[in-house]
Amino acid sequence: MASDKPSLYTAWHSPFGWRAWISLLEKGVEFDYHETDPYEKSPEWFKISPRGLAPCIRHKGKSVYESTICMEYIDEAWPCTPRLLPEDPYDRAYVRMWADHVNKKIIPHIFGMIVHQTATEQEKSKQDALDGIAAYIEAMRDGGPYFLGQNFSMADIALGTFGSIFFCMEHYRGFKVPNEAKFVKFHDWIQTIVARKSWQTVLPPREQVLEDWRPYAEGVAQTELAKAAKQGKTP
Amino acid sequence: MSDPKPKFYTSWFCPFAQRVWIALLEKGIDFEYIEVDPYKKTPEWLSVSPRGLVPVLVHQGKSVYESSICIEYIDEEWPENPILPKAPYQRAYERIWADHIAKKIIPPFYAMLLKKETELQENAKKEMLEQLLVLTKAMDPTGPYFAGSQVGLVDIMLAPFAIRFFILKHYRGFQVPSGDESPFARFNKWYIAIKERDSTGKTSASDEEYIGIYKRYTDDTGQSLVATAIRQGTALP
Repeated sequence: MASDKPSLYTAWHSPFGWRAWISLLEKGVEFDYHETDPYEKSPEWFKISPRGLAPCIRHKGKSVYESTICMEYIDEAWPCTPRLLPEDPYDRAYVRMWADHVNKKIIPHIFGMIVHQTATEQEKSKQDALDGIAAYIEAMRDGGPYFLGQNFSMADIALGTFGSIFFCMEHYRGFKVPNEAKFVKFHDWIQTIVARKSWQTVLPPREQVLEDWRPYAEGVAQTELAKAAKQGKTP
Repeated sequence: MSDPKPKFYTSWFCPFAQRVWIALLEKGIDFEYIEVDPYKKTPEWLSVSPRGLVPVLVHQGKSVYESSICIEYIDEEWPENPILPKAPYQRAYERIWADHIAKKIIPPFYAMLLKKETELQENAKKEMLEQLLVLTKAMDPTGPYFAGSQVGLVDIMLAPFAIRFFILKHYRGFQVPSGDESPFARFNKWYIAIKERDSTGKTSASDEEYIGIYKRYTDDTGQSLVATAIRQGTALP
């Protein structure tokens, strides 16, 4: 009999994986955690996750994958508070548009600045990332501290997972979100986000994060992620 | 209940915008159709569409963009004639396969037209067929639509591109294999059903108009963000 208790298949170091992990933690859902190496393309892995993607949630005999789809699934399968998407259709579209913005206009440049090996490309990625972050901040609603204002949502999780390891981009590429005017809100926001219990649970020690990103920064990573990131895509 | 009428900003040739147009018709929503030229990035247009792209839906003064997000908005704002099912897993399943279309089917569609080297065009054709087969295997066995007897998100996300396959045949000799024994038999059954729907016919231009508009992709003069992304080998906007 297919289990009602979900299983999360994810890699400890993956900010995409943290999106699903954090969502389950926020909801207080009991789940089994399976440490996964998505680059181990075993037949068993493809049975669990047909496109070979992590994170993947197995629930009642079915697989849900792609981190953003996982977040929506978690919100709908366990519709308790906190809601990861609000009730109102326009507000839901707003959260989706800005989660999409994070995926298309910020994350590729975060990867880009790390995997690109020339200073020119790195600087361009850094600027593009900052432009994306500035737009996200501009779209934040008043009343704080979250993206939607008072209410936490999937939009916070989408950026907040990557945002919590910006120290890594600073370490390798000198990337910093400035402290001036239009970026001030970012710092207040990320501090609040990272203080949440779910973030504290998933975030690995700083040294481990730095070590995990080192092959990418030094241009020796051969993973699909590295290849995709060089092309400005994320799988 | 909501009013007033949503404004649908679109371009007649755009397959991404056609998705939303189809959704509006399938839902029976009364809307205002506004033709725009998305290549003219005027300040007025950018205030409606921050990314400067079509489709955009403006409802009660607020803009929604990104075709899949527009469709989900439409489905949630006007609950009659649902496009997405109710159960969480079925909804996730639709989204997963919509994502597959975006990441695995759309890129080879454009690469086939835009790449100048025959080898790259052939690779795109091969990739397209492989990924269409993957999608076909995920279809409800009876159909005729992706999830069964009702049209849903995946059908709408794929339809505008499928009805443009004849363009790929015209310029690149691309064809989905036919025949009852073909592994694509289920896909072809889907295609026939989709082509017959009113919403497809009402939102499509003539074959000649499509052949004409896609010429600039094949002679490498296409200036859209999609064309630029394909040429640069980066992600689609």
